[in-house]
Amino acid sequence: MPPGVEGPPPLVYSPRSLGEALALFVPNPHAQLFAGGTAWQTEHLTSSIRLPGVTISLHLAEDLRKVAYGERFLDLGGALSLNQLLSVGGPWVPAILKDAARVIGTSALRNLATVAGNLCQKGVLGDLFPPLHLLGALCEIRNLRGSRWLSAQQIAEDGRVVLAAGEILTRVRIPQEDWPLVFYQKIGNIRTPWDERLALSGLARTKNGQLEGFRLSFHLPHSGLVRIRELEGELTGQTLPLSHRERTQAVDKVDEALGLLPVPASVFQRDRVLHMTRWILTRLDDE
Amino acid sequence: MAARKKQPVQDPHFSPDPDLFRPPASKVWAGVIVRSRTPHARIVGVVHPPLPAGWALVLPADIPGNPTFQVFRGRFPVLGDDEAQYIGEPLALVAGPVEDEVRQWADKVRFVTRNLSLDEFAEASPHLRRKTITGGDKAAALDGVHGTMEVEGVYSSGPQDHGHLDPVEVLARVTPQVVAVRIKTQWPAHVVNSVARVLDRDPNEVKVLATVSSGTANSQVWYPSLLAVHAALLSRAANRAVSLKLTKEEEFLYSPKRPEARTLLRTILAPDGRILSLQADLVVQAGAYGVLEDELLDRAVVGILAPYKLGHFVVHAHVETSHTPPRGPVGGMGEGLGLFALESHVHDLCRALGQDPAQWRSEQTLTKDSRTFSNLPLKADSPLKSLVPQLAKSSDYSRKHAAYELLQERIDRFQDEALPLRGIGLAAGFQGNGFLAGGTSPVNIEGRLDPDGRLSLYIPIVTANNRSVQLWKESAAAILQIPVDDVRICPVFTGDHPTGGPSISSRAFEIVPKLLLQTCEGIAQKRFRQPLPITVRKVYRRNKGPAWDNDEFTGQPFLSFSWGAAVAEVELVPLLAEIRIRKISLLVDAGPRIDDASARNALTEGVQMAVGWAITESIHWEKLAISHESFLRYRLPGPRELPPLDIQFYEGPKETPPRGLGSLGANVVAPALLSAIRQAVGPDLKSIPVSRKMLDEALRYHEAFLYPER
Amino acid sequence: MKLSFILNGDDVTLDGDTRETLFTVLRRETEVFAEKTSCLKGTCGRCHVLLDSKEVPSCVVPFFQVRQREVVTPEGFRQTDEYRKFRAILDEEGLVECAECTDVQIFHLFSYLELFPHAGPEECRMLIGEIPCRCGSRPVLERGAARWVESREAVRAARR
Repeated sequence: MPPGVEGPPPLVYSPRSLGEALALFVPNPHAQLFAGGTAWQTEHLTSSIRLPGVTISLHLAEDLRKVAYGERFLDLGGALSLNQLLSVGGPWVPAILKDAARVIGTSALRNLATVAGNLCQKGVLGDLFPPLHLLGALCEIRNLRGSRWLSAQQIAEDGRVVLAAGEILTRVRIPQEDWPLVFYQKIGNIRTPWDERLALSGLARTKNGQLEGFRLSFHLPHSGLVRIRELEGELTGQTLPLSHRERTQAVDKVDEALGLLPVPASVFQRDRVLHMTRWILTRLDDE
Repeated sequence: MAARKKQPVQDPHFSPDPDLFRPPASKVWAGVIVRSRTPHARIVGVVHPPLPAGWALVLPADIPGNPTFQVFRGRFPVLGDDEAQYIGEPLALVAGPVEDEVRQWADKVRFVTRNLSLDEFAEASPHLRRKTITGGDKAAALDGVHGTMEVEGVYSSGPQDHGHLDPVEVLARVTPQVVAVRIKTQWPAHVVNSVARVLDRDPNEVKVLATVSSGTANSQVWYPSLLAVHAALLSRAANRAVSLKLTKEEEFLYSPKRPEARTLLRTILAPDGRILSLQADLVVQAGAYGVLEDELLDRAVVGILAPYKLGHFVVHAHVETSHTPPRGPVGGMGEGLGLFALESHVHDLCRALGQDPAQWRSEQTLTKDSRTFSNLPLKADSPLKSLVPQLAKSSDYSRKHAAYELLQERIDRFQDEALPLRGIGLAAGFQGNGFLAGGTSPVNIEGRLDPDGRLSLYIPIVTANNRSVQLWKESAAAILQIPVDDVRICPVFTGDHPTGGPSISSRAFEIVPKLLLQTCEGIAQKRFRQPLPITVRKVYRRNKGPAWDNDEFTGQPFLSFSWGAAVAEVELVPLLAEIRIRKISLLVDAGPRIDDASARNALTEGVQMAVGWAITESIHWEKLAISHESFLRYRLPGPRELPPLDIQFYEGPKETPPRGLGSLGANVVAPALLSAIRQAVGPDLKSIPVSRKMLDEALRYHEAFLYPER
Repeated sequence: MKLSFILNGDDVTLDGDTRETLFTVLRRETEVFAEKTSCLKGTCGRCHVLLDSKEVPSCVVPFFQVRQREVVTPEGFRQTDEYRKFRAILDEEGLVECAECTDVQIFHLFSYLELFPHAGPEECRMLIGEIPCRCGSRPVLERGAARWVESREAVRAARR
């Protein structure tokens, strides 16, 4: 028994497939899933892992690590590691998702951290959630009775997918759309004070001098993801470059949204979000 | 307690049994330090759960020898006895078979205390140590009353952690015959003396296996010796080997940090830029007990006074002690604190004068036939006279500085996002080699040529520098004309001399090569005339020169000076409120280099230290303890802050010996960085580290021009 | 719980608990990491191992995940030809060994470059920065990594 830990060791199962994993929920309806395990380590400065009575470890389930490319969608297996996403995913993985994955943890941690795990645990700054939200991704959640799809918009603002007992997030489906202009900025990691952390994500496409599509969100630690659809709607269809007035009004809208947050943004966060918004708006005609 | 007068001698023939320093894990117990939870309290008693059978508990009354720990002139209790002086002060020690269980038990120990005022200091603690140094030409200060200019500024620098990956771990094993200590330390002799003194043992019985430390900037110096003493006390009490390991958090919260410093500088300048009068008020925070305060304070003062011509000067310097953990020589022994303030002030002088900072420095540095601050005549121009202009030219400093200054004058520069927010800073300075207060600090080397033709060298310098070790071997092999593989660098188990200083770079580069040469030549001379084995010992003692007087501040302060100048170019990224360092250029005069790669490595370490000190590493105090948040957030510079480095060496006369440069990089780069940041961001930044929030505030001020409608 | 796996090329069976990390078990049951500590958060790099050729922080990997898999530690990696070749390049570039990070960095770089063989200089810089250390070896490591990438590319080109 590891020192400082009491009680009998927890039972750990290592199924080799999704089917085996789901079947294990029958006798163990409240078993906890364990994927990469990188979330617990930021919370516990201890040499032992605190597991519940029964754990299902997905590290051997290869069918949960597949990447499937289709005409309309890209499917990422839930247990796909972030480095696999970056290496195996290839050009079909949207750039914004790669930008977000690349700055999560260290390379070694990214060999453990999984796509589903990142969505099911509260990361430093939502991590993959904001880009997936902008991309309109869907999450497939399965249990023994069947499956359901959860859109990114249905995920709570804090970016966590909450699984019920017996459920597994098996894949993330990303619509294959063309977003030539990609903006992703993240300030902060686990060593950064909370009031200095933020992430800003943006996607845009232009056509014939007009903004054909535009999506923007920012993510603050205590407030979660904020997406201003009204602004996206107003700017879509506008002629580029945007005028100074249009940009100023857009920034004002973002500022308004910041002001409505239940947990106010810090001065630093507000300044950065507004500055980043201005920066994005001035680059919309750069395609 | 018997007085111990025997001095430790080198014991190269000590061949320990393999288990002595590496006993089987099953035979080693874990030691834990029980620490004070209050910043200042009278200790009345101790309450703890029943001690499990066989465990060892050491309280101050259990110390067999001298209960004080000594570092040069500083001393403090090995275990707080009568009073606790800071949160985290060791008050007791406990050892048992399983570390986690020992920690859990230690957490339940409670000292019965009576809180004392935070303004009082126990008799054993040094009071606020003050000194005033005056010098120069008073008459010169009165010259040119008309047309003079006065410039004043307050410059602050924050604390810094040593930042090493591995916390210190000590293994001690005390038997009636020997006290064995295995420890990562630069200063084995100090470990020997400290352990012998506290355990009341003959120093010859204390054997230290110093495992390699990393780099030349290993900054812990005396701290490992204190832990060695604790481990030895536990081993003695437990009658078995004890391993004392700090957790990373424990080490961060309680190990010595670079001292905070705050300096007010006020200079009166002649129109041509000469400093007619300099007044400085320097405060260095030393924490509890003021360990190494003499050295730190005096070196900080030297940092202010050494580089430039001064008409008259008055420096009021004092060490503040406080009920916080003792500070230490992280990133250098103290001159960097003074240099930071001085060079930052020169930035302000030059702005006030409208002069190019490179030109100012070149004109105001000491020249031949002038006298130093300590009243010694100079036989040649200060190296800065050549270094500064050469570096300014190679880095294109003056042109860029002028261009960025013009940009500074454009108050609308923040309106044009195409204009980069850049700055370039220059600073010059030195590293003092050797110790001011360290006495004669001899070093000795022993070489022994055995009948099998193999050479054993006992060099009491602890280094991980594979290249230095290889060079030592190659030099020895060349002199004795034996294969390099037949040369062994052997561990020295007892250190060499009680006052032998730590393995700082100056020793490794300045003293060892010379002594090594003499040792091997001595053997070569005796070879073929005397039977083998032949043993030769050579001792280095500091050259006689004008003795340094700490009180009068006269004489020769250091063994030697290494000089350097740095140019740093930065860009402010408003999007992220972040400083990107575009380039750092260094030009260094530290004599000929024994190994170019090692020299570059040492300077690179110093640069990284400076970047951390100036930008990324911050420590905050909460109620006289380092905040937990600081521990979680502490960040060494990452790749975004570490730019391409251009390191050049000034090629002076080859007759001069090589000199150390372990802290030179940090000393000159930190003020250069701040100067550059101030040019990019705004003149009001006068303290380091420069945090993101400070940058954001500066940006917000400027964005008032950019977006007046807000 | 006894688990069998391959450790540095040897078949081993080690005893551990499901609540233990690989780092803890290796440290206790073998000489591996005997004198190293870890941040316990997977961020300092000191405990990295290759698990089925993927670099992972062993202080985060549960011991139960290594059954019938292959683990290579920095000590084991030191015995390989790849280590020697990489080390030779670094020595030529002027590496001053750091007791705290040199082996870790070589291990780290090698593992990453096996996964991302076309990594550019900026990527390598970021990678080296993932192992925070006070030593001055970063410029040498950056140059060494660039040369390693070139040399591996040359090998691949020769095979094509």
